[in-house]
Amino acid sequence: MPIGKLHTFHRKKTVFVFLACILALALLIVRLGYLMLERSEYYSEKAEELHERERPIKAARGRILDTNGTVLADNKTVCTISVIHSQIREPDRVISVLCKELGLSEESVRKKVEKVSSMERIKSNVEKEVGDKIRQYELAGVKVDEDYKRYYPYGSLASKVLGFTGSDNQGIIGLEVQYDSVLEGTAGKILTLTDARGVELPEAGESRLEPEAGDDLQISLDYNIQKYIEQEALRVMEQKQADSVSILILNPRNGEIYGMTNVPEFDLNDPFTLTQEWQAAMEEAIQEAKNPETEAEGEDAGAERGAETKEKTASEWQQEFLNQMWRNGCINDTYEPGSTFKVITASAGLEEGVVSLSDHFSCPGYKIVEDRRIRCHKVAGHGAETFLEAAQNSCNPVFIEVGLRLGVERYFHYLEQFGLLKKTGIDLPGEAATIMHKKENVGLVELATMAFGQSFQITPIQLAATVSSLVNGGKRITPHFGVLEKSREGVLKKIFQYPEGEQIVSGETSETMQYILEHVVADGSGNRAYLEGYHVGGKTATSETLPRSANIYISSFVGFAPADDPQVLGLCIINHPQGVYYGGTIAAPVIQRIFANILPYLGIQANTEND
Amino acid sequence: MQKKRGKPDYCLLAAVLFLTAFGLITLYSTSAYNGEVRFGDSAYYFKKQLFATCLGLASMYLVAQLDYHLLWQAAVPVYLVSLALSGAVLLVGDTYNGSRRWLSLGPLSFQPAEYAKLAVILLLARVVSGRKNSRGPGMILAVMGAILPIVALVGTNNLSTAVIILGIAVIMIFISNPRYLPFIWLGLAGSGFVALFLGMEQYRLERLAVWRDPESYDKGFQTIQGLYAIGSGGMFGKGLGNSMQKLGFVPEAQNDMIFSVICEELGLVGAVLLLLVFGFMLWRFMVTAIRAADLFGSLLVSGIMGHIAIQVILNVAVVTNSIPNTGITLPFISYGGTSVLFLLSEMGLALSVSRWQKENFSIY
Repeated sequence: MPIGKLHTFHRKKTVFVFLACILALALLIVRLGYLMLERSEYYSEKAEELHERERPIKAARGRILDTNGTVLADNKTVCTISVIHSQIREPDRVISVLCKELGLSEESVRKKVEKVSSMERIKSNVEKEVGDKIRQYELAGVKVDEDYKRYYPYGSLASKVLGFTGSDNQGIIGLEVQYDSVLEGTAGKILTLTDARGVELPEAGESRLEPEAGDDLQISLDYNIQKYIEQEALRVMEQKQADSVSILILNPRNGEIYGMTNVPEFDLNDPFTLTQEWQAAMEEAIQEAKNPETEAEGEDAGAERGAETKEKTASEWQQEFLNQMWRNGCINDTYEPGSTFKVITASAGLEEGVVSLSDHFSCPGYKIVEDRRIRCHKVAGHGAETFLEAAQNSCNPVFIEVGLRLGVERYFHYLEQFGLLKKTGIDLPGEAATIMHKKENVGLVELATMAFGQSFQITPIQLAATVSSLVNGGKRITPHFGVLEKSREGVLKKIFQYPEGEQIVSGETSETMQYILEHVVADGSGNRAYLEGYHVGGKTATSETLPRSANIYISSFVGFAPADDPQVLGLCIINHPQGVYYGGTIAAPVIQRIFANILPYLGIQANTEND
Repeated sequence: MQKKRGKPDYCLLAAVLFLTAFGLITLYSTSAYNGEVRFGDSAYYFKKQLFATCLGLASMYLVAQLDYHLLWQAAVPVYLVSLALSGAVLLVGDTYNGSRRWLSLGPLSFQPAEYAKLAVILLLARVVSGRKNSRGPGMILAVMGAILPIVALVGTNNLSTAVIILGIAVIMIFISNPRYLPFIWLGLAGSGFVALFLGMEQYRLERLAVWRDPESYDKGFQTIQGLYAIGSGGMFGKGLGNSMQKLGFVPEAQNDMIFSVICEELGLVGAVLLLLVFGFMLWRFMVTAIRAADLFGSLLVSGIMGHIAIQVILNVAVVTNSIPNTGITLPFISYGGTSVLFLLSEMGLALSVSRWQKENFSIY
């Protein structure tokens, strides 16, 4: 039953169609070959990017070493204990073991163990020994993950200098922030594959990129010196019932800082807990805020203040006082330097030639500038004196006279030249700038007060750096901690370079300053810093904070030794001492005691032949 | 000119069974993730496909036993039924993935468009082989007149299938006519029409832009995911079951884009081998068609060849982004119960035709 006749042309055309289809298929095969060979790399890379999920692995943070290699900041392996609900086989045993080893209440552990979730964290920052012990129980479903935690072997030592790190191991304050890029290392990663929903595919396995540990940072700080100055600072703070004491020890020739403390320090291993002193201060402040005293101000003002502070929550209070506790007074805060600043005025005067050592002055106990009568600290006056004697006496009228002889223009020129109007460039975050009059607003009265260190503010580190520069032969230094960067294995990576200082005064002026300041200690107001067998130079200061009516004083002393070839410079600042508050009486002895200990330690021998 | 009733083409049968088995394996590999995620059963799609395949194999066996000449009479009723079903789906069809293409019958659902392809092949074979004059334009008009209703009905919500039906028709007319020149004009006219059609609507032009640079467009997502899969395959692929792209990256990987997962898992080698099997199958169709006892049988197989060829070529061309994206499934491999049922029935038809073969003939 054939239907229709199949002609030859039908067959030809069928073959034609077939060949056309085969041609199309052949072209598609070529296209496939192009996509799957030529473009394969591009597309598989793109696809992999799409499938891969990264989980970071923390890198071990570099250590901070003191000048002798003592480890000041290290890492500790800690464990995180968690449970995986679906894998637990003996829940009761798991609960009892975890309670016992971790010292947690059964109730809280049971809640977490019995919670249906993929993974529940029981406790983090567990000591490694405890983690190892738990691991030995070989409990199914209990996971012990190791992690690094920053650890400071000496607790509160140099806390405000070193700083600490946060939960992600990033620096929060101090050197930990400043040198974060050196210390942090490169995080590794665990690469896993996920489906389109982002669910990890366990059967696909994982590939690891190992983390690279951060480099060690060696600093100029000396553990022994730091330890000693902290003891001294604490001793004098206690003795004088002071609010705080700052001490700075540095090398005046190159700016390397050997020690820097602001007591009270805080525990770097527990930086988010207020120390007792600060806790008490905070509670007092909160009490005060709740019961606003209406002594001086009117009722309105008091009520206003109450309303304002009422909004502060407990955590805000806590944060505010934590910030206070972490402050490094040597660099974050400014103060009125007072008489120690006479070193600057004297240097400028000598350099400019408006005064010389043998110039004669007379002090009646005050000096009249324009319509003001500015008093000397010795009400009766020092009488006739040479410039050297005036320095020994710390005589205000003489230094006012030197300032006036220089004039505003030249005085500011020297402030600028000495680097006092800029920051020192210390390698710590948050250095405060100098608070200075605008030159155009400075009249003779302002100039007179500036000449003996009042009516403006600088940081302690600025004073120490400037005095160092004036007595070291006249070269401006950059105070710093960072010395070098090396790998954990000890391979030197980098030696930190600091700008070559400008010559800010002539060598001659610098020598004259050494001579003057040695005499201040040997025969003048700084005699409590005199150290047998050494030539110590220095200058005392007693300044009064604003408002002057509060009678709050800052006593300070800046000293260096040996006076003719300064190798160590120390600055001690005592805030709000009770009782005797003269810098020469209470701050100078602190430096004297410190020098007595660290000069031999640094290999600077006492000269017993002379004197 | 002798005619003998003999054995079916076992080579064709082997190719069909190979593709069916390969399709099931690939489908399971590709759909397991989606089945698990959506229905909590990694074999969800596989089971449904297996059921349809069993039905299809039974149908293929029965049709192959049949004397295909009986279908001469059935062609018109079969076509009318397909018109009715395609009309019905517009009114009472189920919507899935935004297209109204399914008719439900209890737990079973059915895609009339798949059935329509078979009906069109039957109808055209009958119309063409029934006419004495094959040279004039009357034939083209008759064929076009016959299929226009179904193209219109199917094309309303399934443009791709309408295009396939049109393509099958063009191939069958081409074979039925001894001349070549008119088809060149037809081809040019068709291209012009397509250009006009594309230019009329902004979204169609956008589709062209997506085609040329799929990575820059959101709508190129499916295409680009397919390319990632293909490119990841390389020479030998990642191994059966190891595709990453099927894990939700290629949307509906078990459907139109299944070829990209084959590329990823079996590599260039596997993909080319698969295309060679399709090519082999087309060759067997051609052989069956030119040896057929009569024009009706020959045209039936040519139509089937055209159907398979169009779908394979367009599907692979879309997946490799050789042409703009359009939804065409890969015969025997892509998920779709109705599709596999009617494909296997068509194969039964081709096998039936292969049982009546002429021994001596010439094509020159």
